[in-house]
Amino acid sequence: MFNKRRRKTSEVYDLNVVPVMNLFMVLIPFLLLGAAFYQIGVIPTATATHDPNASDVPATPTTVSANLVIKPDAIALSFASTSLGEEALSALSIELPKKDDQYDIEGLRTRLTRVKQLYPESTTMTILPHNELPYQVLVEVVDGVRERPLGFDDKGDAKFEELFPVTVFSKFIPPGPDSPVLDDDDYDDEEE
Amino acid sequence: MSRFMKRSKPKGLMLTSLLDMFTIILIFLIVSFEAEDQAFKLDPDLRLPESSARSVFKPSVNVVINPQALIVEQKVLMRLEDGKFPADFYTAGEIPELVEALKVYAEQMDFTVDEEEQTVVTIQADKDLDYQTLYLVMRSSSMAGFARYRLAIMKK
Repeated sequence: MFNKRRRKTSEVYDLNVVPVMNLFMVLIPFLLLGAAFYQIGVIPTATATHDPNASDVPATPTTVSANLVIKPDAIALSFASTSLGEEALSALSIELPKKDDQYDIEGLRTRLTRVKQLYPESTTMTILPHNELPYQVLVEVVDGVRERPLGFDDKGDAKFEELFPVTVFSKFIPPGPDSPVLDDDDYDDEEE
Repeated sequence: MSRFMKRSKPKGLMLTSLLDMFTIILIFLIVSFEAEDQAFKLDPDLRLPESSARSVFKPSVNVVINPQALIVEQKVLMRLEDGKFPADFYTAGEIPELVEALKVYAEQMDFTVDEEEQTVVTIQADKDLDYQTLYLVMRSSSMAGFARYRLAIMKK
């Protein structure tokens, strides 16, 4: 009798996981319906607004505003400022032709990093793309001028340095029938 | 004989590994559920461009330009031919239908709350769309009082 009792108490029972499984079977379809398998972000931007009394050059003397013209075969970067002369501004300017049918984003970023070191308060860039520029390429250029990667911090998160995070889109006004015909040099001067 | 019978007794189904798998799936789905943007409805007819932008999505008036149509707040405003508007819109520099539609939204807004936050348009456009068309939409929005934009992108 003693032996029989001892055998009974040492018997191992399996945990009944069926109710937990039922719960999971309800939760999983519910969560699947609402799950997001992609992450959406945004690029904040603006268009140039016309104010006859406003100047397109920054009011503070220590800043420059950048103009980026995206041509079919090159990108041309120029700057405007109230305090710098023509010579200083043209020294900062650069035109980067396409490399292997791709815009030279790295070259652009290198030049912007240099300008940002000289005038750290500068934040605004006006972008003037050509009409046929695909949206994806435009976004890649905007990504290139907004910030530059600086590797990773101690926690493993990516670090970035801001370059020109405020982007304004603009467009060249097509010349009217009475206007003089523009050549490539004039292309840089006429904007909406 | 009795020993043999004991051995051949069927065992219960082993659910432990299945339970482990379900637990992992459940955790993954709960994390995804938290990251979901409830106010955003991605248009199925377009592919957003990929970007490294880290700005978070905030709800605002939603304008979609896909190759077939121009859509404002899920209402088709006009049909497009291969993602292009009629040529006279490009010449005029505006889309009258879009200006009118957005003016209606602008009138409904309570500008005493936060004017800057309200006069923003979220633009969803296909990654192959040309700049001319994108700018035309932005310019028309600007004419209706929405001069700031959030370009929707797919995070890399």
